[in-house]
Amino acid sequence: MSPRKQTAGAKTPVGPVRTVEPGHIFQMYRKMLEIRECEDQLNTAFSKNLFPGYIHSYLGQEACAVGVCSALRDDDYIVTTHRGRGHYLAKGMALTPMICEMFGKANGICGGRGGEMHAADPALGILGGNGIVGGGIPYATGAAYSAVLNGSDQVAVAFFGEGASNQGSFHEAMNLAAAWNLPLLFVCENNLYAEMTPFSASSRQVDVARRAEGYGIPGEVVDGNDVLAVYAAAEAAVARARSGAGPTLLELKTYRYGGHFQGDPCHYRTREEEAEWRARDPLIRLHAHILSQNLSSESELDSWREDQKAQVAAAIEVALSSPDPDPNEALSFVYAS
Amino acid sequence: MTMKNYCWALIDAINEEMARDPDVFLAGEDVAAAGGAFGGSRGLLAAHGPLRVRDTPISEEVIVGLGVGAAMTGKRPIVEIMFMDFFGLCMDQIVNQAAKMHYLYQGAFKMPMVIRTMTAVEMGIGPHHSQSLEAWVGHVPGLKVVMPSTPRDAKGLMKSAIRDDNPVVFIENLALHKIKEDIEDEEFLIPLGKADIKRAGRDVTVVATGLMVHKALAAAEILSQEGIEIEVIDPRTISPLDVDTIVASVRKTNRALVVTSAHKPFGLASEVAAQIMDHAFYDLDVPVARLTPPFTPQPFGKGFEAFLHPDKASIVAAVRELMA
Amino acid sequence: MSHAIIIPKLGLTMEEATLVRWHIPAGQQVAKGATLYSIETDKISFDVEAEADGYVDQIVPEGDVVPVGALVGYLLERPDEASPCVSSVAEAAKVVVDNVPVPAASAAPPPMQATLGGNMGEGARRYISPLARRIAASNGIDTGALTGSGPNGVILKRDVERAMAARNAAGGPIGGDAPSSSVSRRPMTAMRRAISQRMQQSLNTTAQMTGFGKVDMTEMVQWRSELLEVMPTDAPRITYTDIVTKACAGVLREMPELNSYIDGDQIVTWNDINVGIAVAIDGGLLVPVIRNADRLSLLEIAAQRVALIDRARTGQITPADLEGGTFTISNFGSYGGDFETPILNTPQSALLGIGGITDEPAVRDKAIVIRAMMMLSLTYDHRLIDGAVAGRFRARLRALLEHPSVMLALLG
Repeated sequence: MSPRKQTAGAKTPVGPVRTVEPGHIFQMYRKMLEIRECEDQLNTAFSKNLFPGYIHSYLGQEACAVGVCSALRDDDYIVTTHRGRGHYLAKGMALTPMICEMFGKANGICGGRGGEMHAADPALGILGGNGIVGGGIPYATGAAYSAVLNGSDQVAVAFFGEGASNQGSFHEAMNLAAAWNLPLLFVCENNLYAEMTPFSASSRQVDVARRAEGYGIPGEVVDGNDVLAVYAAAEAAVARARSGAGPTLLELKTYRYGGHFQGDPCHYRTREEEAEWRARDPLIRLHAHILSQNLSSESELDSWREDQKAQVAAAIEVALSSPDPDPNEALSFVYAS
Repeated sequence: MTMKNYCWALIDAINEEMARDPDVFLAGEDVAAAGGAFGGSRGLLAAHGPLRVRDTPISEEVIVGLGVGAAMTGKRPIVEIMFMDFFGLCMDQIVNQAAKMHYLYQGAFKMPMVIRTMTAVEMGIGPHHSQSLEAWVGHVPGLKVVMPSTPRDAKGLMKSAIRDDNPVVFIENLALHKIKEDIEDEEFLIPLGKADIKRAGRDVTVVATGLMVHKALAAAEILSQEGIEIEVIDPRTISPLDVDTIVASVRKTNRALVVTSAHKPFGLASEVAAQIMDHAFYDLDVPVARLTPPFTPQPFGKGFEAFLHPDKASIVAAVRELMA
Repeated sequence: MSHAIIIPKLGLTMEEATLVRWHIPAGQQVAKGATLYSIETDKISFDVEAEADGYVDQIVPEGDVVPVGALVGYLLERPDEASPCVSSVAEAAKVVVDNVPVPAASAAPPPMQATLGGNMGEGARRYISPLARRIAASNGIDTGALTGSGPNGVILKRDVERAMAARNAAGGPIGGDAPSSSVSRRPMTAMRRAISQRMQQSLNTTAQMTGFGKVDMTEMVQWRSELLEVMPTDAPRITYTDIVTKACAGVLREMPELNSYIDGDQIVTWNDINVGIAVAIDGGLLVPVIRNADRLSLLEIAAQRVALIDRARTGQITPADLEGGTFTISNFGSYGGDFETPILNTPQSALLGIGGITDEPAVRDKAIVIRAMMMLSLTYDHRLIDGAVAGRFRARLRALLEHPSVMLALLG
């Protein structure tokens, strides 16, 4: 199915295939709000030249990270990409050290060494972002193999975009995971553009999920803007992996509101297309679902938004007032002693 | 003491470390059922089982990636890339992932992995299997690079490499697989980063690696009969390089020659020469000399290798020139 | 099969030799056991016999200085055979190392070359190695006056060292080569070179101190003349050197700290007492050694000394005669010296110089009397031996030499 042909707007309801506890839904909504606020305010800060480097915005894709990570435990592993902030937050990373890292500060989660594309936390199974498209997928197999060797039921998730699905690393990793029956989820967030080139120009098969057939594993196209659909698909794939049934490829159809990076003029796509996708906004849809099911009130949802807004603003304030790293620190940690 | 060849010394090292530490595992092309493309892992599958000794698809990038992810999550993988010539297929995992993980995340992840690989220089197997590419990895901070020249060194260094918490590129030399040496039966380790003086001498310091160590030792016999005593130093680990041992020798001899199978530009020979300039310039009586193959790919046909690579005659000639 | 002709090692300390003469001309046949060539080391001359039958192929010309173990030629099976290469490869390396023939040193270099030197224009500027520059600067050598012996005239360490040696010999500042009309030059003999190196090394590596003292030899002179009268005429004639040797050996047994030396950060003490006796010969000096002198009788010491000096002066001395000394006696009185401070024979740490015995006025019991007096000078390595220890050695020696009956009683 093509996401362009999907019907737009709040008329497209979120599609829970099974009952999800309201508390769990609220958690997902608040997490999506946190990501949304974070991306919004970072974009603003970047536009004001408050921090250096790039910013690869996750705006619009919040349901992907939150839906998948909601199906994971703390001891499950994730490997992510240059556009990884949604995954970090969804897997539980604290907001302030992550934002300080975006600003390259001494109290960033990497001490300012990584910047926007890198963060990790072994305790949460977050095995890092990546500056290389497709660079993380191969080592997700190693994390999955550790679980096999340990005889544990942990799973690993490799997040990547449809652009990375044209890298050899994706195919090598998927083939190995299939051949070895690894507890590994391949989660492709297909936001339609590999950097600034439409996926349709790079691949004759526009459904990445179909590639799974070639490796003998299940592949599934999922509405990536429907957090409950993503959650349901991820939960089923995780259960398969935990049970020893091997890897799954999930393709989450979604859309990147910003360009490849903040400031990308997006000449390669139309305003109409952007508007169409904004009408299918994952937060709007979950918001509508919560109200339509009478799970919560408009005012409570608004208060959550204000709460997340304030928390992100506070974290950015901390980042702005934090010290830069001591340059001498650059010489440490090259080798483990 | 037991007489062991280089290949079996390595198998012994891996076998001992796998028995010692259940987190160690070995994965690569043909390492399990076949016992290694060149017999370098014979017996390990039977000893340690199919999960810990595992054949992989011919997928170099994911072979190294497997090691990276496993090392980050508490294992001590040995991943094998059959020939170093295949590193082009997995350099991202080596350079951008393995080498930087500890640094980027300030030690939150250790990277205790060995990338076991091989050079088959001077074995007559052509341009994609004969290269000496240690400079590729020696240039990358975060990696350690080992290239032993004797069975005992191979064993002791492999054991240290497996126990090291950093990614170690361990470069075997196929041409040396059959050389034998008496090796003690008791356990021993050889530390990474420590050079070995393979022959002491007063006149010229000859730094050589891999196959060239043996050629230099053969040249030393000839030169000795002419009254020239060369000191042959095998760095064994090229990153980190044991500059102190090399510099101490040059302070004594005042002359240095570096002999490698790798090319001059940006290579180990150039690095050693530069280190000598940095640390012993005022002890040099003549410029440091480098003896390497010319800057060409390695053609296949009979005779090409002998023509291109340093041999004992060219080492003897280079030393004589230094002594002129 | 051809047979390599290698310079033999003839003693522990031998490092090189001058090939002074080929007895068999190049291309001629020689039989195994015939004298093939002669070498001269720092101490001895030696004829080397052919180790096999063959035709002589000479690589090294007469007059060249070559190190021990150097290849100087071949004994070829056929007169027209080409000079072969030498190959002795370690067992392990044989497996892997090519069998490329290695041309002899004089042959043209192979096509692949190490990068050496770079392009050094001729005449434009003077090149000097970093090491040579450093040594020259720290020793006050004007490199502008030096001639370089390296490739393209580059000044090397050896050129600076040669200039330093020349300055030391001349006792004056170095200018490099003096005008050729005012001096004459000749190469040093191997012995002179050895002596110069040993002397320089001795002063460079030890802290030498010399103490003097006079010994009243009156009683000893009397005792010796009585002894000589009763000795058979064919017995070796006992000299004062023999007597001093005997006394020194006895005192060294009591005071091993003078029979020691410094090696790195350790003090090494010899168990044996081997006394070397400096002997002047034509063109230089030798120090033959009387081994275990403390265990020899005076007569045995005399007999050994006579034999050693005879061999030294007739060129018959062997390397073994010259090795192993732990203490040295130099009789500067024998050539008229009054006060001398001989230089230590390293690694030894002590050396006794003895002067001649002369009648001198001396005060005994508040009266001036004539006594036979002898000067002693003890040179020692002050790093190891303190002045008081050296003084005690001299005093003990004096007690023995002044009282022959005491010496006999104690040393036999």
